[in-house]
Amino acid sequence: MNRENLLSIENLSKSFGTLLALDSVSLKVNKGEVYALIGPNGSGKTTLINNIVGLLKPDTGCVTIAGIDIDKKPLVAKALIGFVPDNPVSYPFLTGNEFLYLTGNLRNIDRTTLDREIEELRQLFPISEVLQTQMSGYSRGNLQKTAFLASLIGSPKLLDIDEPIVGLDPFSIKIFGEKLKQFSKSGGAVFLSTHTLSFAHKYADRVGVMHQGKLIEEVNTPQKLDLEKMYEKTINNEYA
Amino acid sequence: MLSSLQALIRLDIQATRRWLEKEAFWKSVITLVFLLLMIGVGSLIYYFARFYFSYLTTIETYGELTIGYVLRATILIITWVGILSSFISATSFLLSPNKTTDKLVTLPIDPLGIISWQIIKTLFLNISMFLITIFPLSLAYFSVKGISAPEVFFRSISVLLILSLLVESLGSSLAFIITNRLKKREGLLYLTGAIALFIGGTYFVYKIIFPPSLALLESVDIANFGNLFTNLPLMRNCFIAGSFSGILENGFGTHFLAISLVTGLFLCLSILIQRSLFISNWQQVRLSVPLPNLGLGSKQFFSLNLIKKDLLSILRNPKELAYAIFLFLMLLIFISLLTRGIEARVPTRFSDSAIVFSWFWLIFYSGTFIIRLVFPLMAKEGRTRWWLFTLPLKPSHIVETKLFASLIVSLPLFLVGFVEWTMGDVGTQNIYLLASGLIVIAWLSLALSLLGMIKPDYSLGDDPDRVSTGFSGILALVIVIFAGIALSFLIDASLKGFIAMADSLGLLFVGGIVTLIPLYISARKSTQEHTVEV
Repeated sequence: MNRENLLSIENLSKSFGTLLALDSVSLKVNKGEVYALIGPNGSGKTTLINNIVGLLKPDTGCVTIAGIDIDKKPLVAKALIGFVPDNPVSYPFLTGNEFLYLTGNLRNIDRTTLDREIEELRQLFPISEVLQTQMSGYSRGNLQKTAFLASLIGSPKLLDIDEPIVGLDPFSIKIFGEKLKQFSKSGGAVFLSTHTLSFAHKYADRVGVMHQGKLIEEVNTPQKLDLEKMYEKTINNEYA
Repeated sequence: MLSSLQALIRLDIQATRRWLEKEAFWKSVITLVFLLLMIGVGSLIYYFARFYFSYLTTIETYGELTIGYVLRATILIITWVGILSSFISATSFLLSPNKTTDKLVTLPIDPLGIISWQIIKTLFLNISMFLITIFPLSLAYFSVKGISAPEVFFRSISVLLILSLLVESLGSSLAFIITNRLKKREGLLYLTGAIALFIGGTYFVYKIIFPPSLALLESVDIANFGNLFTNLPLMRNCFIAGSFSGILENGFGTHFLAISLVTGLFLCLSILIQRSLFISNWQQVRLSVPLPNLGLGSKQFFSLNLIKKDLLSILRNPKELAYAIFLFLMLLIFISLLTRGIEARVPTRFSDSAIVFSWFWLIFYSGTFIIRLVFPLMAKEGRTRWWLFTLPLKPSHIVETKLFASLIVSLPLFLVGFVEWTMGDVGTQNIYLLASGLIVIAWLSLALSLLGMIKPDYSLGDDPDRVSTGFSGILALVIVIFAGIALSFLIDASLKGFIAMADSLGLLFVGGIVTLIPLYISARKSTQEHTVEV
């Protein structure tokens, strides 16, 4: 194993009945890298994201986080991952602050560190007042922001995020993207899926294209090419 | 208004059809078993009442009067419980935003249509409750009195309908007035007032049924008995009990007219109140108010925070809290009145059976409380599994914290059990009943919590009501009833001396542990599987 790999996926396959959702997918995400996965609806992006975080068990292949197999040592591996799902619904009866503290507490972080981490995170988005109210009243965007803040608690090594910017305003999208870059530059790695090509174009260091459960294309430094055209061409070739 | 009401009723029928489409066979079987059990409970009340009434008729004047007294007392208790039930039903409807009502509120529909839809549903529930309580009781009464069948039917049905409408009107009006102020500054005052009203009302009902003068009847001579009896508060001053028992005893006379008019008046008032407050109530529910951080991150012993989170899922959800208070008050009312009734009026030769009956009701109500509040704890994780199952936590740890939370949620039941068997003389028998009751409540709490974790229906996680009344919830209720009946036989055998009380307690304890072990293993295995296959 390369010591720089924070996420390594080897020959991962997953079926749901007769539907082959993932077909021998292999990829690596290095320390300091933002990896964006793009692809049409139903191409297997969410299935891959859920396999990485251990919410799904692969039929074959394996996922390792910083060299730790999530299937064999789930607790150690999960402690290294911060996760945001595509629909980050949370406990409606808790306030955002309580949710953040509960997450930190269950990640076994001592109170002083947790206070400091949460105070820093609260500065990221201007939602301090919102965080004092119950999450039952949160908009989609505020739920997304709260889940993102929770995923950063406990100094994870890898951020695993499904559709990170759905429901966010343009200002928050910018903050989100810059935070992901900052996270990767400070020694972490980000693995995300998105339908927003401009977001991947601007913030990703590497882009993977998925189609019908397969990783069909990978490009480095997407800023250097027209991502939209590349995507269109790749998918059209597949259909052809 | 009528067209919107028809559309809403069709919507409910459609939802029921859809529910039945999945696993139709098993759902039908379980529903059938549930209905049979309800008929069984009704039959049990009928035979118990008929047996008791027949016994009383052998004691000339005293017996006849006591039958009348029991009938009025039952009507009063059921009226009070009915008001409470309608209040909780309306409160939980108002305090729980749901997508259907959200959509309806945005449409050009008169709120009267939505309110009528809700009233019909609550009426249906009240009538079902009265069908297995008042109906068998009145049948027993008429069977002892020898009154003809068609007359029995019409009198009982009239009482059932008028009583359902009356309790619905009173309970819903109160609910609308109180919930309208819950999120305003005076909200706490109104909530405290509502709780005080129901506790005070329960005490009032208790005092009407068991006034100090009731004890004097034991020592008074026959000449003064009639005079003293007709002056008891329940016989003289209680309009509701008097009117309904008047219809049952004498048919459709002035009692029928009086109570119909009063009910009609309350119904009109209730509709006016509900119609004028409905929209503002719905808007109130959506207000978000800042809450203090309850220190969910302040302990290093992290299990405590998961337990706190589960408790908050009840305490901060008005619908769940309303159910908890309602079920607890129901239990308290039934058990305290039943225990007092047994002490005061049940002849010695029936006392063992009456005590077992009371013990069974404690277990049955505890079971319904646990099924509603504890059983869905894992299913409630539904849409938040992405968070819970991706934390570095062992599945066994999640199961164990849920078990602790279950015991804490069940604490009010332990309290009722304790109060029930420590009221009055605390002899060996009461200590035995207390110990056996507490062991069984603890067992129910743990066993039903584990059952709820074996095949949790995560898709219904947002609606614990549907989890507890769904397929697995009804199955759990059937288990509770069968376990309650089986254990009642054991308690009866101990009270009659066939099994030593210590042996019986040992049996309950060991049996409890033996049944919990496989349930725990299955729940842990199931959680392990769900952790990786969301």
